[in-house]
Amino acid sequence: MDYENLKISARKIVMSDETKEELIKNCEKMMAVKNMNKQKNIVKRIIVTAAVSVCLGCTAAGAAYHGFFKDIIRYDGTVVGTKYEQATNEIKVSVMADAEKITVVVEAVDPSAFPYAAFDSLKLNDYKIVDSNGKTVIDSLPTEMSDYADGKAEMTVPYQNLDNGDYTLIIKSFTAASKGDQPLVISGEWEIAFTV
Amino acid sequence: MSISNKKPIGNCEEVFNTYGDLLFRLCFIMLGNEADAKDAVQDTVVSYLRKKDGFKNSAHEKAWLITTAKNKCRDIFRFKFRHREINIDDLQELLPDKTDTDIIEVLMSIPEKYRLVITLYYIEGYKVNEIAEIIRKTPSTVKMRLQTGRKMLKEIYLKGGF
Repeated sequence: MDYENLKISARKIVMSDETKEELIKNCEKMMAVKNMNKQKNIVKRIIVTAAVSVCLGCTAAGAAYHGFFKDIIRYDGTVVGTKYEQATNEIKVSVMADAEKITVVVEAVDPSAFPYAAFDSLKLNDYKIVDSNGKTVIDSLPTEMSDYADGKAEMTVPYQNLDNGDYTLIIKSFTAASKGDQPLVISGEWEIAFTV
Repeated sequence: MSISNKKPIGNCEEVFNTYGDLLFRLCFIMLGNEADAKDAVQDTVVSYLRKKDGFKNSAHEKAWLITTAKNKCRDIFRFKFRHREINIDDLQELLPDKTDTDIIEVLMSIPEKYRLVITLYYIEGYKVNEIAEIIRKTPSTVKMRLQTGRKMLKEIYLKGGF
């Protein structure tokens, strides 16, 4: 067999112009479809990401409105207790001040809801009183446990020599207690302006 | 890490102008009919256009296309294993001269693995080592296939009285 002839004959196999045009069109179509699918996939991914973000946003918004329990974890990972956080919207605080005492009235928005229905005494835990210049005049002085009933408690802030003027009570947390249970720290952000 | 100097051609028409005939010839000889050859060429070019990495040089690009076309042919070949069609009409249409038709028909009648190495060696002018790289076999395997292929072609050629 003459391989030179084989080469010459085989080299005559070429694509006709019609075939070439047809294949070019088909390839362009296939590429367009593939690109479209690619774009669809990108859009799908964007939609999924947006949906997940909205869900997370809703969860975050929900969490911002409602309080939640959180484990207190020791340095070695052991859970040593529980605290209740983001209770700002669940507790209303008002202040009555005169020359002798500052009375803080605490009221649960929904006294029947857990944990507000589960404890019987409450006290201020982390708080401070700042004057009109922003200077801290009282910083978390220990207070006594006050009775808590029907979602309400009144507690007194001990102070001495507080001049007349405008003040702001900033509360970061309360400590709630019930008999036989470990005290529960309830955290949030409360700011109440008052005048002595 | 390989160095990519040559970027794939982005334009479909340019790909066909540069490599269309080579791919079509190879696919036609491998598959034996125009319709399947067109499918294989089309799939090869789409794979090429979708390729993101570049090539080391033009030879690497050509070898990549041949390897891909060979694999596409093999896919079609597997799919149609039980009823492979060698269309003599297609061949006669492409090669009106009877001498040409006969000689290609002989080539098409030998098994695929021998046909591929014979095509690459005698028609496309690749060397044994280059064919070994393209088909991912050792050079001695390529040599053996060439030898066996030649023997088969000779027998068929003599039997057919061409």
